[in-house]
Parts: sequence; structure tokens; C-alpha cells
Amino acid sequence: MAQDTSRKLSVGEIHTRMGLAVTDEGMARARQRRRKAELARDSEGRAAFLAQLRSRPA
Amino acid sequence: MTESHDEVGRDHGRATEAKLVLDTTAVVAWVRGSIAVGETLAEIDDEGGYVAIPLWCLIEAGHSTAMLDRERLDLLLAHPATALITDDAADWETLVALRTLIGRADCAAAAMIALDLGVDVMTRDASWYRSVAGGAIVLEIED
Repeated sequence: MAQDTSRKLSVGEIHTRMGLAVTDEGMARARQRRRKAELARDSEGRAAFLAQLRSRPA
Repeated sequence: MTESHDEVGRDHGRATEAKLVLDTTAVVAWVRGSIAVGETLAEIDDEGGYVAIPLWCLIEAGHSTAMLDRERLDLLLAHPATALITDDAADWETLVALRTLIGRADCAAAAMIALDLGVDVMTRDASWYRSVAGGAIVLEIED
């Protein structure tokens, strides 16, 4: 697979150039939502679903 | 960076872990200045993780925005918490099955990467993923 060599910028620089007003409170909310989704995740069910897809005949 | 699933997990010399996949609607939301996507990327960067962007989702987002906001797509790729991911050729049959279930190749790629990495797909439209693992693989954008 190809490796891209694009330059990474700082998060602050990206927010400035995007005009995004990201706050600590907003990030905390985003983290909370992700945590909630992680806790609700059925990893075994997903693994079984993926295994089933992979075992289907072509 | 453009990497296969197996090559991800490193960035700027630090060990990183996939936390989320952005689908086409999430990339378009970023282009349109979604604060929810920006906050999520920032907190994942804070955590030292990364967000996978399937190549096909970037292509579809570029197409659907007519590349009018090319700079914003470049900024997404320049974000320290993003990694552009290509499909693994060995997964082609599974991708066909997912494409059949979902109805879109870009969403199939997003679902494949999410299932493979054990993370969720951030999307504006969860209905596309209803038939994938009971639909419980999404994190909807809430602006």
C-alpha cells in the first residue's frame, strides 16, 4: 500500500485555519459520547458478524 | 498517510490506536465546519489515538462537495489524529457482501474498517448501517 507523505499540522493550527471554536467542554462531551458507545459495544457480536461475512462462499 | 488496516497504529513515531472511522457524511460535515467532528478529532488526538478515513469516503466526499473546499479536505488529512486508509485487497469478497447489505461501496469500506479495527463509524446517517451487526456500529454526529 502507498504511504502518503503529507505534512501533519498542529491541532491548534488546523482549528485556526478551519475557523473551528473547539472548547474543552465540547471535547469532554465528545469523549463522554464515545465512552458511552464503547461501553455499549458488542465486540463478540461484531466479531461473529465479520466471521460470518468472511465465511460466505464467493 | 495512506495505509492498509495492518499498517496503521503508528504516527509521528508514537504508538497509536484506532478510535473511530469517519464515513463520507462525516468528512462532508468536517468540510462544512462541523464542531462535533472537530471536537471528536481533537479529543482523540488528546488521547493519543487516531481516526481512520477510508479512501473511498474521501473520494465520495470530494465528489459530493465538488472539491470546492479542497483546502478543508487537505486540513483533515493534515490533522495529527487522522489516517487515510485503503482497503485490503484480501477483503474484497467481504466488501462485496457489505456492499450488498449497505448499498454503497464507500459505506461498505467504512463498515469493513470499523469491524476490522473494532471501532465505530462516525456518520450523519446511521440508517446506512442498519444491516451491519444489528446497526450497532455507529456514532451519529450531533451538532
